[in-house]
Parts: sequence; C-alpha cells; structure tokens
Amino acid sequence: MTASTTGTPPPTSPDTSPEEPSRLTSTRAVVWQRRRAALARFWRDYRQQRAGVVGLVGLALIVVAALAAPLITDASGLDVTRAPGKRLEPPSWWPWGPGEAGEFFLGTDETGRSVALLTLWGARVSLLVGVTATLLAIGIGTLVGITAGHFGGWVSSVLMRVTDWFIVLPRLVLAIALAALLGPTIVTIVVAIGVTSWAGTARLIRAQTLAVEARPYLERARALGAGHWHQMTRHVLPNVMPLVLASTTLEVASAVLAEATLSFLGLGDPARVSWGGMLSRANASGAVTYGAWWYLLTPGLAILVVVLCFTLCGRALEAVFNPRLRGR
Amino acid sequence: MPIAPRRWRRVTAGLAALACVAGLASSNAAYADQTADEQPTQLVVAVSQSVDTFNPFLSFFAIGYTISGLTYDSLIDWSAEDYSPVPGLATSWEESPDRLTWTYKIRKGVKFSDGTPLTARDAEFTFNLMMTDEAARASSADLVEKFESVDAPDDYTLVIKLKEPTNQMLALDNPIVPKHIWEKIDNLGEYKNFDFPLVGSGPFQVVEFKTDQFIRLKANKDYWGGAPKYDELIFRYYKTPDAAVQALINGSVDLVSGLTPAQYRGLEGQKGITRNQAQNRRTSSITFNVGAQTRDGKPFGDGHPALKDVRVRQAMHHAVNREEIIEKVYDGMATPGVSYIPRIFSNYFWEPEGPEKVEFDIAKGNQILDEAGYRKGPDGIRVDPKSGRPLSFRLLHHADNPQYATIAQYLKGWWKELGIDIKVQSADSTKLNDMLYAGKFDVIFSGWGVGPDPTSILSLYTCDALPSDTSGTERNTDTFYCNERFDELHEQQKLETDLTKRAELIAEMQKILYTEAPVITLVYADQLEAYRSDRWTGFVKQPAERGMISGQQGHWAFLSATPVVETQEESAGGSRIGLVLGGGAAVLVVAAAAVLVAIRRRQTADERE
Amino acid sequence: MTVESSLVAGSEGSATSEPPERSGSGFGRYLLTKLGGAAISLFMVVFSAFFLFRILGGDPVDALTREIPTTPEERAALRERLGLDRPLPVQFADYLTGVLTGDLGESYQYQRPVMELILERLGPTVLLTGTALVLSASLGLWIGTKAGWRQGSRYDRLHVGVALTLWSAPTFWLGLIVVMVFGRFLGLFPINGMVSPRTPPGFWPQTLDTLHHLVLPAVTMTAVIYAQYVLVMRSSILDEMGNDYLTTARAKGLRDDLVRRRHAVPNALLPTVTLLFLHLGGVVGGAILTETVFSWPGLGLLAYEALKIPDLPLLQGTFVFFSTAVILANTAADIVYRFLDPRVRQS
Repeated sequence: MTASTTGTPPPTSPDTSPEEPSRLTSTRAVVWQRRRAALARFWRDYRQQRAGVVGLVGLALIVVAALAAPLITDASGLDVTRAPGKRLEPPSWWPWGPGEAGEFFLGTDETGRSVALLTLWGARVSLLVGVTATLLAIGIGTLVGITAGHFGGWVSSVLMRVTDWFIVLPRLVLAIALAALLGPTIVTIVVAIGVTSWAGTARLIRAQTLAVEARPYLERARALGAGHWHQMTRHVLPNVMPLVLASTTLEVASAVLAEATLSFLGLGDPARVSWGGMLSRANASGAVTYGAWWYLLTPGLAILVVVLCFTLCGRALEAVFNPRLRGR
Repeated sequence: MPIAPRRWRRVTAGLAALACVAGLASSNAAYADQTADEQPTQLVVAVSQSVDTFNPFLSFFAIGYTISGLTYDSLIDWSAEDYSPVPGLATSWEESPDRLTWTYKIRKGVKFSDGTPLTARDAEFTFNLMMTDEAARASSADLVEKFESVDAPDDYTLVIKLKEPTNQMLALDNPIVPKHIWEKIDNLGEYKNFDFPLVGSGPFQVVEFKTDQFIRLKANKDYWGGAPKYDELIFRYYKTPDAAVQALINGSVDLVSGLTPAQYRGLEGQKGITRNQAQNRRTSSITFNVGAQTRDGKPFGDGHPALKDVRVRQAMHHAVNREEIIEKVYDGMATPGVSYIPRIFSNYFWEPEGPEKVEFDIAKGNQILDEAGYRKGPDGIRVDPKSGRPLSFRLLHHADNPQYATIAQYLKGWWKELGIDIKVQSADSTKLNDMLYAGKFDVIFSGWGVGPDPTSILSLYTCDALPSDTSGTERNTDTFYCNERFDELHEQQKLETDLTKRAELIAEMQKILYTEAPVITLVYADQLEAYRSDRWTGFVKQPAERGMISGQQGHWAFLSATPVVETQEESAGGSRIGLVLGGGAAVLVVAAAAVLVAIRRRQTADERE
Repeated sequence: MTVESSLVAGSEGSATSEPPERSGSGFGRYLLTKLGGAAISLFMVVFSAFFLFRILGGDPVDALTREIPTTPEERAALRERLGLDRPLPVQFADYLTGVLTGDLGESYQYQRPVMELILERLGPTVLLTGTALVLSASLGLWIGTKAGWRQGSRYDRLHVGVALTLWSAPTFWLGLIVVMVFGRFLGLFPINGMVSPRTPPGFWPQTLDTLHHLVLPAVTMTAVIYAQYVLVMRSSILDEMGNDYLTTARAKGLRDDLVRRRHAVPNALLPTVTLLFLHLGGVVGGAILTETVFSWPGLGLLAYEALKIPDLPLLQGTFVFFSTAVILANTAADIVYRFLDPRVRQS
C-alpha cells in the first residue's frame, strides 16, 4: 500500500543546530536563503499538480470572499427581523416559480433573507469552525504523535493504544454524543470535531517521528546534550511539519463536512448562520415539498466546493512531499 | 477480436441493470394492482411521534391518547360542535343535591370487540383500578383524587361518591377498559398492552404494530356509534417533514397534519388534495420568572428581580407586535394570542375589550417604564432602582425550534427600543426544563396543548403548583406565579357545574393573567392539514367552525370518513402496463444473461495458453 | 477521515508495523495480541460511555420523572431501585455487567429495553449498509482497476474527478437532492421507510417492496463512499504496476486484461479488502445520515431519534453498540489480513 509516511524525507531543509559557532547574521542569512530556495522548489513541484492548483485558486477565492463579506455586503440582511424579501422567493432569473421571483440572485430563505448573502456569511462560520477544529485536532495529534514517537517504550504503547481506539471509534457517533451532551454552541461543535479527528494525524506523526529520530544528526544533538523538549521542538517538529501540512489540509475538508452534518442534525448553534444550519432549516421548513431548489442546492454546493478544494490541495501536498505519489 | 466482447459485456451489463431496476419498479406495482380487489379499504394517516405504550393508564404522548381514544370509549365525549360534554358510554348523569354523589346511566347494547357486552362493572373496575393502583394513576392522578367510592349497583348504573364536590365529573373522558381482560394483569406499571388485537369498545382496535413503521387498527363494525365506512385505519410513520407530504402527493398516505406554512403553500393547486387551515388547541407563549419561590415562600434561582414588578412585564407586553410575528414567522397562518385559553374553546375563551386590550405601542411601553422609575443609563439600557442592576434579561428558547429562534430575535429588537437588553439563549428540551424548574431563567418560551376542560391548565398558575423544595424536581408550575384571588376563583370554578357561571369565573381568571402578565400569549398557530379529497370525504371537524381533522378530542373525523368510490378501469389498465413492463424486463434480463454466457464461452477458448 | 491517509494509518498499525513471522506460532501469538487489544478497546468503550452519559449526562431520575409529579420519597425510592445511591465505581461495575449480559438500559421515549430496539433495527441497517458496501466495493474495484491501468487517460481523470466530487458532497445533502428529484419531481421510487403498509403480506411481495424501497437510500450511500474504493484500488494497481512479475507476464505475451485480472488485481485486492473492514467506522456515519433522510428504519435512524429529548439511554446504547461492532470488525480485519498476507502465506 502506498505509504507516504515511510522512506523519503521531505525536501525542506533540515534544521540547523544552534550549537554551531555564532556568526549570527551570516548563518541566519544562509538559513533564510536555504528556506527560500526550498520554498521555490516546493512551489515548482506543487505547480505541476494541476488539480492542486485548481484547488488552491478556489480556496483563495472563497477565503477572500469570506473575509471581505463585511466590507462588500451589509450584515443587516442577516437579521431575521429585517429580512428584505418575501419568503422562499425563487432566484431573480428563474421564471418558472414556484411563486414570483424577486430581486435576489439566489432567491430567499423561509424568512425572506437572501440565500446568496446567507451563503457568503455562512462561509465564515463554516470555515472558522473547520479550521479551528482542525487546529485543535492537529494540535492534539501532533503532540501525541511526537511524544509517542520520541519516548517510545510504554509511553508509546499507551498513547498508541488510545490513538488506535480513537481511530476505530465511529466518528459521527462520538461527535453526536459529545455535541448532544455539551449543548448547542459553536465551541461544542469545535470540540466535538477536534476530539474525534486527532487520531489519524497522531499515527502519521508518530511514524514520521520514528523516521526522523533515526537520522544521524539527531544522534549528534543528543550526544551534545540536547534535552527532550529541545529535540522534539527544534528537530523533529520542523521535519514533521510538511506531513502535518498535508494532513491538516485534508482534515479541514473533513471538519467542514462534519460541521455541516452536526448542524443538520440539529446540534449546531441556532444563532449562527452556517451552511449545515441553512440546510437544516431548509429541510425543517418544507423546502423540498415547496420545491425551493435554490435553498437546498446553494449551501450544499458551497460545502461541496470547499471540501473538494481542500481535498485537491491536500492530495497535491501529499504528492509533493512523497515523490512516489507524483503523477497520480 | 478481444475488444468487442468487452464492450458487449459492458453494454449488456448496463442493460441488465436497467432492466432489473425497471422490473422491480413495475412488478411491484403490478402485484399491488392485481391484489387490489382483495385488499381492505384503508385510511392511511401520517404520524411521526413514537409510541411509548398502548396502556391508556400510562401514556403521556399524544399518539397514545389518540390510539386510546379510538380503541376504547369513555363515559363522556367532547362534542364535535364546540367541545361541550356529550353522552358517550354514559347516556345521562345526575348530581345529588348534596353534590357528593353522581349517578351515571350506562348505555345498553354496547359490546367489546371480542363480543363481550360492556356493563357498568367495567367502568367500576376501571375507576377502582385508578384509585387503588398507583401506576394506573400515572397520567391522570387528579381525576380520582376526590373519589370516595365507585360502585355499580346494577349492570347499567354507575354511582360515584365524592369527598368533596367537583365539576370534573363532567369531564370523565378517560378510557373504560374491559374488566375480563385487565383484571388478569398483575403488574400494571410494566404492562405495555401489546397483546394484539386489543380489545375495546371503541370504533377501531389496534391489531398490528411495528415500532416506528406503522400502527394498524381494524374497524369495529359493531360500534354503537355506527360502523366506520371502511375496514382499516393505518397510522404510518414519517420521520422527516417532507416525506409525509411527498407520500400524500404520490398517494401512499391519505391525511397529513402538522404542515409548515411552506409545505401548506407548496400543496396549493395540487389535484385531488384538499387543504385545511384549522384553529389550534396549542398556545405559543413566553413566561416570566416572577420570582421563583417554594410554597413556603422561600426564594431560589437567579431570576432578575425587576421581573417581579408587574409594570415591567406590562411594558414588555406593549412591545410585542403580534401581527408582525404572525406575518413573518407563521406566514399569516396564526391568530393573535390573547388569553391563556385559546379561542378554539369558545365556551370559556375570554377576550379583552377596548382599553383593556394591550396594543403594540412602544411609546406606551416606554412611558410605563419611565413612570415606574426605571431610568435609562448612558448605554440606553434602563436600570432597576431597587437592585441597581440594568434591565438585562436572558431569553431562553428550545434549540430545535427555529420559529422560536426567529421570534426571539424580534422580541430582542422590540425590547431594545424599551431600553431592555436581551441575551438570547437556547438549550435542548431537557436542559431547558431543568433550568425552568430550578428558577434559573428570566424569560422563557412555553406552549401548551389545552384540553376542553380548563382546570388542569389553570392549575399551573395556582399557588398549589409551587414546589415544596428548591431542588427543581417538582414540575407543576410554569412561572412560579401565585395570586390569592386567582386561587380563590380557581377553587370556585372547580365546583361550578353551571357552564355559564363557570365561564364567568374563568373569564375573570384569564383577565387576571392578562393584566398581571406572568405569561404573554403570543399566537395560536393554526393547525395545517391536507388530505386526498379524491379518495376521502365526509370528515367531521372539531369544532364546527374552522375545525381540525387530526388531533381531535374524540374520534369524530375517523369515524365519519367516507371513501370516494373509484373507477375500475384505471386499476386494470395500470396492472396491464405493469405486467408488460415486468415481463419485458424479465425477457431483457434473460437475453442479457444468454449473451454474457456466450461471450464467456468464446473467451475461455482464447485464454488457453 | 482523509482518503489515503486513513488507509495508510489503518494498515500501519496492523500488518506493516510487525515483521511477518513464520506462520504457526507467530500467528497464534498475533491472534492473542489482537484479541487482547480488542478486549481493552471494548473496555474503554464501556468506560467512556459510562463517563460521558452518566457523568456529563446528568441525573437519570430527573429525566425519568420529568413529566410525572413525584414526591421526594418516591424519588429516593426510584434512586435506590436504579442503584444510583451506590458509589460510582460500584455503579460502573453494575453497568459493565449489564453490558456484558446485553442489558443496555431502557429508552426514555420508547419505554423499552435499548437492546431490544437495537436488535429490531439491526436487520434493515445491515441490509442497507451491506448493499451499499457491496455496490461501492464492486464499483470501486472495477473503476479503480481500469483507471489505474490507464493512468492519465481521459477515463482515469474523469472517474477520479467524479469520485472526488461525490466524496466531497455531504451525504445528507445528496439524500435531500435525491428525495427532491425522485420524490417531488419524478416519483419513480419510494423515498420513505422500508415497506408500504398496502403491500400484501407474503414473502415475494414484501421482498420486492423492500428492494423497491432500498434503491434510493442504497444509491445515495454508495455514491458517497465508492470514491474511497476507487482511489484505493487505483493506488494499489499503480503500486503493483511497477512490479517485476507483471513485466515478465507481459513479456510472455499474455493479453493485457488477462494479466490484469489474473495477477495485478488479486494482489491489489488485499488492501481493498482491508479497507472494507476498516472503513466501517465511516460507513456507520453514512448510515445514520442516509437512514435519517429516507426514514429507513435502521440503527442510524434510531440514533437520530435518540437525539430527541435527548434520550440518553438510547444514545448511550447505540454508541456502545456501534463502537463495539466497529472494533470487532477491525479485529477481524487484522486477523484476516494477517492470514492472507502473501508474505506469511509464502513462508
């Protein structure tokens, strides 16, 4: 099976040992130059992954749009009490009903708010939750993985047993249980997703840590008296980061899907506009019967596009860091 | 050529798949049509609530009540006209002069569905069971509280002696169960009554039940009120809101209720479907924490002290724009809430007149608060002079109710204009109730399904309903309200058997609640239903004016439903088409298989190396 | 769950991290280790279920007496009857024995034993997920093999693209679209439940009706999960293609698809088979969503129903059941994989 974890080290520069003689400026300059060269190399390799570039462009557009939302649109349109349109209006360019089309590009929801506006602002919540939950998951996973890989022995056994257990557990069931118990807020969703997603990363990181730890320069560092924390943060972590990056990107995709799912099941924060919440309300208000396809299609497509872009980027990153996967 | 067979294989595989699918779709239809003549006439009703039990003594959920009301009979029914008490199993009743003895004459000639005649002894047994077995009182403790004894001196007379007078004797709508079956049950509290077919004297009995799939009831052709005009009544489960409506459109279901406004509109103009916008027994309201306290007067919880001031509540009442809520949240399909008792109960409903009526008037609200001494702070939020705290209240709603969420936003905006800050919170039903009964709320959404006899709903506001301790485990009150005059009137109305006098007493009680405003009734959301009028007709609605078909207090609609006679040619044609399609599909599959086999034979010859 | 990383993660811990030993004693020890690990995992499931639902979930007595007015004495009696007045470790021991004997408590809203409800719903879920898995695996195998063999071709790019796109769609959304198209607009297949009550009793009509109802939910579930199998199979084929024995076979003049069928595919099959088991955790999630949208009366819908109120015993019971099933399936996969591993077989 393809193992992007074994074998070839990633093409980023290995860290320099701070014990070298301190001609500080020139050393630092050398380091930065090496880093810049590595970055250029990375970009050249990445550019060759066409799908990855498409994904990256898509993501950039979406993130920019989400960040710029308060600047280019009026947030008052999100207030149910000041909804500008009539309920469930079809898009302005759709002449076949049901009902009379208004002036909104993607129609309105069941309270009269513009679906396009809701989707744009929903991107902020969905992306925020996705990224935050992933950071939490990656954070825990990296910590566990490096600790297990570095210390070995019974520490590793215990940690890996716990990790294996989390991997095997059905994610959605655990997330549902947590979210149901902790109450319907954004923080709950983030915690529920983060707590259920860290295990895969932990395993990868551990394997990579083992590979890195076997390298000679780490032995040298140890011989020179580097402590555990120093080794883990200054040597292992930077070498593990590229893999973490690829894993993170794919995790965000997963987290966005998870947030949509939990919101759809009614566990999300009712005060926030998120894509999953929109779909939940569309379903509850009878949009399917009414035939309000614009209300159902738009948030779902938004989720699909974001998840797809993150997936493409993630796969491209994996390919860059593991030449064996290139050209696939 | 090696390439052609591969492509052939793909083509035939695809054809075979299509054929199978088409075959499945049509053969099923063909089968159904073929056996259409042998099938019993069924009225299929959509439901979504899971059944907890069919034991009429234990059920709390609405579905349990509905099923009991169909399977069994009660002494007194509620008329379809206007919810007045009318004879059921009891043909007449009499109150003794000292008001402590009630005598009921039991209807003659009534039989249970297993043929056993029903007598007064079954009623005697039922009430005695409730009096002696604690489990049997689970869902109706207050009914038999006042009973001293219940006797059946002969087969058709029932005598109930009371400890003190009460007009609940006119509301004896609990099911009467067959003695010969229920006297054999040892542990009533554990008995689910899943022994099908159920035996009862009502118009329909449950014969089959698959959890969360369907409940099948068979018509009782010997029913004393007239035999139902069809054979079976089926409650079919649809867990998602749209599934039931889809089923109505494609004909798998005949009656759907609880539609959302969007669904109701979506069904406009659909052929063969008639919609019904009915009055509702449900109220949607908000209640205030008027000072959580125990019966002894010990305060607890963390409600905002300013809400104890009736003027604050009245001011807030003036800032509720019911018209806008109805328009924006219910799409116009609701009526403005007024009194605690919904309009549908015309016998008791009270409505304020003229200056009594609270209109949407922000200026008036501000004036009330100004005159009461709540000055606005620098941030525009008023401050309570007694406690020094700003008027900042928590508004709590059910997390799974998007309508409440929207209304909360509206309320927040209106109350802001009064200088009151609102923090909207949401919680699931369990946590919400926990917070309610622990007194840890300020304003909370509420709503009740009211019954034809208002005593139980009014008792929620009596001082008796206050808990005896602060643990939050007793769950009888709704807002910790306690008013002596209200309690006085309540005791009086519980004894009054003259409907007019009783209505007057209850009117005054409603007025107290309206002016004191521990609760603000927002709307009575309409009950939205639809049914296949090309298949069914003759539904008797309750009440007569703008009445509902589902969710009645009684079985009028299901008893009166009449199937529309359908033509025979359609079904025959359908089955013929089905047969042709099914047959054609089978032929295709066989052909594809034959081709596949032939290809394989040729290939194995090539493969020998 | 990421596509390839999860697969890598899965196989990492089992087959590849332990050097293949000689069959016989090695296998026996492997078996014991795996079973022991499974036992520990199951214990952890029960422990976390207890912790989550008893401790975070609040007082059951409150929930049970929610609708019924009770006196403090009644509550104390109920507490004693449920064993809630005993110290926590004892309560946990009780719960553990309960789980081992199949007693998972009683549902608040159904008022029936949770185990009974689960067993009732197990059949429909197995039918739905089994069908979806078989379809996904077959489809994935077929397309993945062809795509891998013709890497870079239009076929390859198209199918990988479609697979990734469907994989990125939320399951429940796909279901809603299917419901809207086939329910509201086309009306070809039923969109709710497993059987129509109008269907006459008897084996054939009931079976046909069930299959009729199965089509839409199965197709929806398959659409989302088949991508995983396509990508895995494709990767496996690509890995195999570099191998020597294939070049030899080709040099011998054997036909392309023959080579593919006789040699490459069986060897690439192993990871796919493993994936079949390891994926069960994700399939459970897909089942929950699909069953909810189509009201398919299975365990997934039961879990969704448990969210009402929330019905904690039911939620807890489904949590324990799902987790146990997945852990057992994984253990079985590890054992089967080890048994089938060519390196072990050959030695």
